[in-house]
Amino acid sequence: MPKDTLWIERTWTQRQVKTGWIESQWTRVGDFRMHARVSTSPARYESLPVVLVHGIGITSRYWVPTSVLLAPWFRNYAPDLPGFGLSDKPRRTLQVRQLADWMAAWMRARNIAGAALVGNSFGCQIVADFAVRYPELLSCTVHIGPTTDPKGHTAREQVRRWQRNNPGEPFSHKIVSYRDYWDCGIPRVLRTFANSLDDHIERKLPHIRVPSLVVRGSCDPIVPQRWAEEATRLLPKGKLVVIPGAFHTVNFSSPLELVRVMKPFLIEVSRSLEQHQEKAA
Amino acid sequence: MLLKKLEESVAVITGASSGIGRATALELAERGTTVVLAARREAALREVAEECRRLGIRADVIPSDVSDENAVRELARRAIEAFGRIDLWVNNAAVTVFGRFEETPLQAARRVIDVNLFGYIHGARAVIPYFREQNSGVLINVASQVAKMGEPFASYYVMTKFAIRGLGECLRQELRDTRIDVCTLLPAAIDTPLYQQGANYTGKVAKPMSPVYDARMVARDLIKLAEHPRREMHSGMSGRVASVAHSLAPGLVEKVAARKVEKEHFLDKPAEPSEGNLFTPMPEFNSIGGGWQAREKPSRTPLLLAAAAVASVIGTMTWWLRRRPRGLRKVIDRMVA
Repeated sequence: MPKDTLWIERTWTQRQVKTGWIESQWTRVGDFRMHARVSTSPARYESLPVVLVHGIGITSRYWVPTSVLLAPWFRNYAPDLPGFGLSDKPRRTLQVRQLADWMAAWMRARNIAGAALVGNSFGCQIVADFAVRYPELLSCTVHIGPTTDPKGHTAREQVRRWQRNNPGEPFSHKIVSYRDYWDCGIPRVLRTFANSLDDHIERKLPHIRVPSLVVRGSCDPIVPQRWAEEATRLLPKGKLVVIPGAFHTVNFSSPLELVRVMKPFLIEVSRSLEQHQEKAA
Repeated sequence: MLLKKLEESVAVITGASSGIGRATALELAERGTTVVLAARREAALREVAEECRRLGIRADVIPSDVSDENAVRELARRAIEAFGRIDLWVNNAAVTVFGRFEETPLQAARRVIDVNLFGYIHGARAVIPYFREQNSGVLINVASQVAKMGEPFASYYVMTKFAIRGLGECLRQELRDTRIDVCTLLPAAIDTPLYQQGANYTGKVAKPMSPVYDARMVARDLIKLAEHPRREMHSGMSGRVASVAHSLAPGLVEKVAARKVEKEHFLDKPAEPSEGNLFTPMPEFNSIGGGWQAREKPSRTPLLLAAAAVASVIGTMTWWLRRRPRGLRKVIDRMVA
């Protein structure tokens, strides 16, 4: 149990809601040691591993609330990508494409296939890139507040929206995200932000063939309703869910709601996977 | 307790196709709340949902019969899967039967208890597990002022309403150390299509007893209650007065109420015995109001109150002038003399 996230977990495990356990695990991928928070309690639907992909500068740490709530149902993995969190840092800041490659390498090293990829914010850009180039490794995708809205694809507009989002998030979100920015290093955060603006998610979404769920917080200024709807339309098998009262980091500030809306989608996918496997057998 | 503001909350309303439920849905929609509407009549629900959506909110329609436990569970589950949360659950769906206690067919009586009482029980059982997970939420049971005092010719309805008040009292105690609130709303006689839709074995057409209040007033009270939860709340002053009177002089109030019901609760028009909407919904009565307020004679209550006030002032003055002079009067009299 990583000590630094105990307090985040406690706020959830003390409620009358089913939670599981998570622990830190390190995996050697090529020259790098990659850190991930992995759920260790037995999961109800083992056939579908869930991979949680973090956003700019932040790490697996802000997936902890979602992770503990998801653990009784699905085995979930929240990796820190190279350069972020507790993973080793490459000399250069990685592009979206390279981050997706590292995701794939890490998943192969950990023997994860047919996974559900869940991204938040910039994580969705990595998920989209990954889904287009490594379709064999995944079975569905979930985009929580996907960036970047094509109308507002400038650094200035994105920073403005980010500032408008901040007051809505709980105070604990500040503690967690500032700690993560520190772990990552401010220059790397800024360079990753610049890289995220070079990437165009709207060109990749139409090529994602697997079932996809788009989740948006109704108060999220970074992902307006119009863009969430457009993203859902671009996805060949897209579905949109809007959570009332939630802001951009739904997975940190409204994890219970997120798990509740994600669960039926993931269960359906895992059921169809099981049926498929039975047919093959 | 509501964790978020009304415009960021999700409310589930049963019996939203007409009357108080419909008024509540629209009032909540005006405040920006996401509403999930349930009732038996899908067409009427769609109409309400359309009106709500016109106000710029999201509204979902899930036709269901509250007397079916699985249907209510399904309702809660679908609301949770669509919006992630339920902040306010309004148990409101109710039916009624008019008739002498022993003459009411037992089948109709059972159905009233099934819908009014078991419907609320199913609602509470479906939503409380989610409330416990969230550690927040408000459950409002819409009872009636007759949950505090009896009424002839509607025994089965009254019994269910008494039971609902008991349910609220027990749940509050059980959920004492959580942030879940259970409130009971006690509306007075309200202008809704309940009286047209109720089963009737009295042989006469039923009507609400005056004073009749607007269903929208109940809806506004209900929203106040959701924002500031209290144990029980009357909606409509007549209910509040009657309940105080009943606690002071129960025997007298029972007698007065019995005579008032006999005199005022029924029109002089004959009516065939009917099952009303007990077993099959009646699509024609899908509005908020039942047209009772318009039919009501202008109320004499304010006039009576004013007359009483004037009389008491005159009486006090007469008494003061005619009693033996002392104190201030003595001084005034001396100064005058």
